[in-house]
This record gives sequence, structure tokens and C-alpha cells, in this order.
Amino acid sequence: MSTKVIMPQMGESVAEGTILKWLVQEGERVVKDQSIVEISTDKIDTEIPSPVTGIIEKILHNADETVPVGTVIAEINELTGEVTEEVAAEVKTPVIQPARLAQVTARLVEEGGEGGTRYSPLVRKLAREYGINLQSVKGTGIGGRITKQDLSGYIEGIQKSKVPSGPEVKGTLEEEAAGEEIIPLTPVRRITAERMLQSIKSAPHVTTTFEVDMTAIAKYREANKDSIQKIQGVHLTYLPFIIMATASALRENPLLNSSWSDTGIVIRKYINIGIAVSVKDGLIVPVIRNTDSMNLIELAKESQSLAQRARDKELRPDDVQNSTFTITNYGISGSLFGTPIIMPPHAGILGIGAINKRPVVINDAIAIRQMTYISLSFDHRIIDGAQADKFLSKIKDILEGWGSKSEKMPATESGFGGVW
Amino acid sequence: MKKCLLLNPGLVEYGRAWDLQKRLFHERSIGTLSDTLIMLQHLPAYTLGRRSQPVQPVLDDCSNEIPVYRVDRGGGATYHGPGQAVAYPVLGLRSYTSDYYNYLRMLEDVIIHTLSDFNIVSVRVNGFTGVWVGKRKIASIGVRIIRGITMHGFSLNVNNDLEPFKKIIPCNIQGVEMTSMSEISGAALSMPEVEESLVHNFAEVFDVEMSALMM
Repeated sequence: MSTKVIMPQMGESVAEGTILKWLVQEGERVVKDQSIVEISTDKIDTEIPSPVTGIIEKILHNADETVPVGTVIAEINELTGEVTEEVAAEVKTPVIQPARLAQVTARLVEEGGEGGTRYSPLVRKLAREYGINLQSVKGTGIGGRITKQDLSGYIEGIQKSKVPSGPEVKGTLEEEAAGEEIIPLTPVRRITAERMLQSIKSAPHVTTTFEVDMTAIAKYREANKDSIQKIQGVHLTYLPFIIMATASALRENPLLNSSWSDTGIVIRKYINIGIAVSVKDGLIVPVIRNTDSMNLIELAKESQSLAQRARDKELRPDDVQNSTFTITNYGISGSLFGTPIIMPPHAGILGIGAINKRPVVINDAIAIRQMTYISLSFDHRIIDGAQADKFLSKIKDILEGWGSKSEKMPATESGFGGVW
Repeated sequence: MKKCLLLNPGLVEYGRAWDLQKRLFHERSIGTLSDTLIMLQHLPAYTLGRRSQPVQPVLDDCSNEIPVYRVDRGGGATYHGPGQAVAYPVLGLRSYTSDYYNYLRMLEDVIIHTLSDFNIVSVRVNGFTGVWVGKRKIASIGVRIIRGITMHGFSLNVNNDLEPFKKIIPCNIQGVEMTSMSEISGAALSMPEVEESLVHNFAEVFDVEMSALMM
């Protein structure tokens, strides 16, 4: 079924439009609302979205042509049914949507069009697993078909060129023989890798560490945990205390709640703290909006709800966007110190270490206290050591002084509460 | 009321301002930034839109020292320079209007109201987007709208030099004469006052609450 793409009427007195650049080609698969062409009419440059999901059948007018409004500039062969559904179904998990969509689209391009005759099912399966775009592989089979050997040779070629130094990676498809295994990159892994690399490359990272005595909070929790569980229905761990202290410290140290830009440091007036959660595929950072407006119980409920939704893959797009700072709680898995990587475009990330009983010196005597190390990695373009330490100092003061303000809140069981 | 951030980076070279816009556009499109209005001035620069246009004299002028940029916005050629108020709203347009051309009308309103605050009577002319005082053009508009988010915007001649306009065919309109607020009122105006009026009128026309970012 052929759908027409027309030069739109963008204003009453506008009679024509100019095609600036086609963003797709004939034969290319597009999804509904994907931008397919850049146009210019009088004072506005914009893009026309595809009206349907399908394949670009014909492009009728080329770049630099000016045509009257209403002119058909392209025709699309619409595809209905499972194609659209599959693509739509991917929209639920925003963190992985773009890459997954590209993967799905690439797969459809391989399998569609000529009825799947060009690539054998085995070749298609292997290409999918190794994330290979079949269009870049030269086929030596009948009629230019791509064979398993072609694919094998292609993978070897890539790995040779990508590993200039170090041991040569054999990368054959028969894994046992080579003694190695290739784990295909999941979209989450790919995105995490890109972000980590980008972060390290752009922001000079420095990590500073403070020691914090959590005994006051431990006592607080001990006294009140059970009644909180009963009355509020939430398990109070150490994390909400830390989130609250961090939000206060960000209020007082706005540079830690900012981003670097060439024209100036962009300071955000709203505080949305993201909490790193470990899920099966990797890391996700759901966000607590307006963190500084929430009290301890609200923070406990919200952080636990977000963590659960993250693990159940039920996060909404809003849940992972717009964070201004991040907290990562590697203490859960036992780590004492860390040098976490800043999540771009933030100015810093706070790592919380394990909380352990340790002998410490107080008033020249040895006491056993619940201690932890908190580490802040910061972007040294924006922040200097003194400012970073002032920020951590504030967090330390708040945490160590807990309970000296009279908040009648139930505390919890002794010791580290475990998973948030 | 919807909030809008106001950024005023001062006098900025065109290319750097364009980079800033692109970055803000990106942040706006992924939702890490609210609607934003950038108000600034440019160091002298010519900019050309991408549609093919009448040959611009300045392109053949070997004595020209003013850089020429080809830009991804609508509209034809124009000149930017110190003393000219430039505004780049980076907005999610759907909250304000569903009609792209209505956006241009809203920008014209902002400028017309501002001129009126300084006792200058101006009009829009059907078929010639921009703001006119009599037969002369005082403000030019050129935008780019992608995924519903706007870039570029308008420029209003306040105290700037008008000579450089003579080396181009402004807005691709043959024979158009440019004017400025200072030319019409006979005296130089205070840029901060004009900018303040533009921001105030912008907030009114778009019905937003402005909050300024320290820069």
C-alpha cells in the first residue's frame, strides 16, 4: 500500500518549499514519525516525519528542488502488523530504546525486502548474535550470497584491526577450538560503555574520601526501625539518611549540582539525585526528583520503589531522566573505597562504602564505632579540591550529628541494612 | 505557569553561540533542560540560510573581513553585530502552538511590543516575515524546528552599524532597506533596557515565567 509524502503547507502565505536534504534513501526502512527529509520554507527550516512505517519506495524530488505546497515528494510502501508492534513494544524501557530500535530495524532490513532469500537463516542468526551489519559483508556465494565463511572472515578481519597490540584474538565461530568466547554486547552494555568512556575522556576525574561515623544513625535506626515498618510500611536502611544529607549539601554547594559547558558552568536550581542500581544487564540510574523536598520516610519509600521497578524493568522514561547528581552504593557488595565514574553531564558522583564496626579514637580513647568511607569523584574543570571537601564535610556533619536534632522517627535494626 | 530559563552570555562570536545552541538543543530534546531563551549580541558576522538565494555581493568582496556562516536556519542572508539584540528561544513548541508559522507571528509580537515600549510604531507585513517600520526592516527572523524544538530566532537592530547590510541582499529581498531603533529615535538606546523589554514581552506572549541563570 503506497503512502504519499507531500510538501506540507506550513503557513497561510507559504506556497512552496525547498528540499534541503534527504535523510533516507529509496529502499530504506523507516518507522512512523522518523525524520525523513529536511525542508526549508520561507523562514523555517524543519524536518518532515514519515507518516507511516514502511519502506521508501520512490523519491520524486531531489535536494535543492523547490516545489509547490502539496506536491508529492516521496512514496512509502506501508508495512503493517508485527513490524510496527515489535518496534512499539521496545519503547517501554527508555534506557535501551535507541540502540535496540536500531538493532531491530537493522534486523528487519536484513530479513525484509527480498523475502529473506539473500541471507541464509544461519547467517542471519550469527549476524544478529555478533551485532554485524550484513550489508558491510562481502558475499562470495552464489549470486553474491553471504556464506558462513564470509561472516567468519569478516569477524576475524574486524578483530585484527581493532586489536593492534596485545594477544591476537582468533575469533572463529567454533568457540571451543579457539579456547575463547565472544559475548555479544547487549544494548545496555553498549550504552554503559559509551557513557563511561565519554565521561572519562571529557571530565578530569579526581576522587576525595572522607571517613564518616554512622553510629548515631545506627542507633536511630535501632530505636525506630520496627515502628517505621509497622506504621509506614517501609524498611529504613542507611541510604535515605545519606540521600537526605547529600541533598542538603548540594543546596549549600551548588557547584556540585552543575554541568560544564564551554560558555559557562550551568548550575541547576533543582536537585534530582540519581541512585545507581545494579540490574541483570548492568547499571541503571533511576532518579528521585526534587530530592531536597522529601523527608526521610518519603526518601526511603521512593528509593525502594525505584529500585524495585528497576529490577522488574518497569521504569518509565521520566524515572531515568533529568538527574543532577548521582549516588552509588557499592558498600552493599563489600567495597570500602571507590573511584566512581561521573555520569555525564554531572559535576560529581558520591560513592558510599560498606559500613563496618571499627576501633576508632575518640577523646584519646579507643571506641568501637560503625564507620564508613564516602568518596566523591568530581569534575576538576568545575570544582577544586577545597570545594569538594567542603561538600563532603557538610555531608559528614549532617550524618554524624543525626539525632541531635529531634526528629521523632523510628530507627532500625543494628548494622548495615543491606540492599535498599 | 510554565518556566523558561533565561541565558545571557553577553557578546559572543557567532560560531560559539551556535555551538551553545546545539548543546542546549540536545539537552532540551532529551529532557535534561527546560525551555530556554538565549539573549545575546554577536561579534560582526554574516549568516546565510541554506536555501539557494540571489548571489550575495559580500561573497565576492575580497576586502570583506567579516566572517560568513552558512547556517541551518530558515530565512536568507543577514548581518549580526554589536548593538543588535539577538534572541534564540530553544523551546518545545507544542506547549505553545501547534502551528509553526504561528511561532513566527508570536516572535513578531514580542518585537512589536518591545518597539512600542520605546515609542516606535512597527508592523508585520503579510508575506514578509519580520518587523517593519514604514518601508524599512528593523528585525529579522529565521528558525529551525526539529522534533518540535526550536533553534535560532530573531535579531532586532538597536544601535548596531547598518553599513554591513549594504553588502548583502538582506533576507533575500532585493532593494530592502534596513533600519535600527537608534536611527529612528535619533539617539543610542540602552541595550540592557531593550533586552529587558524583549524578555518581558517574550514572557507575556509565551505566557512563561522567566528565571535567569547566572553566567
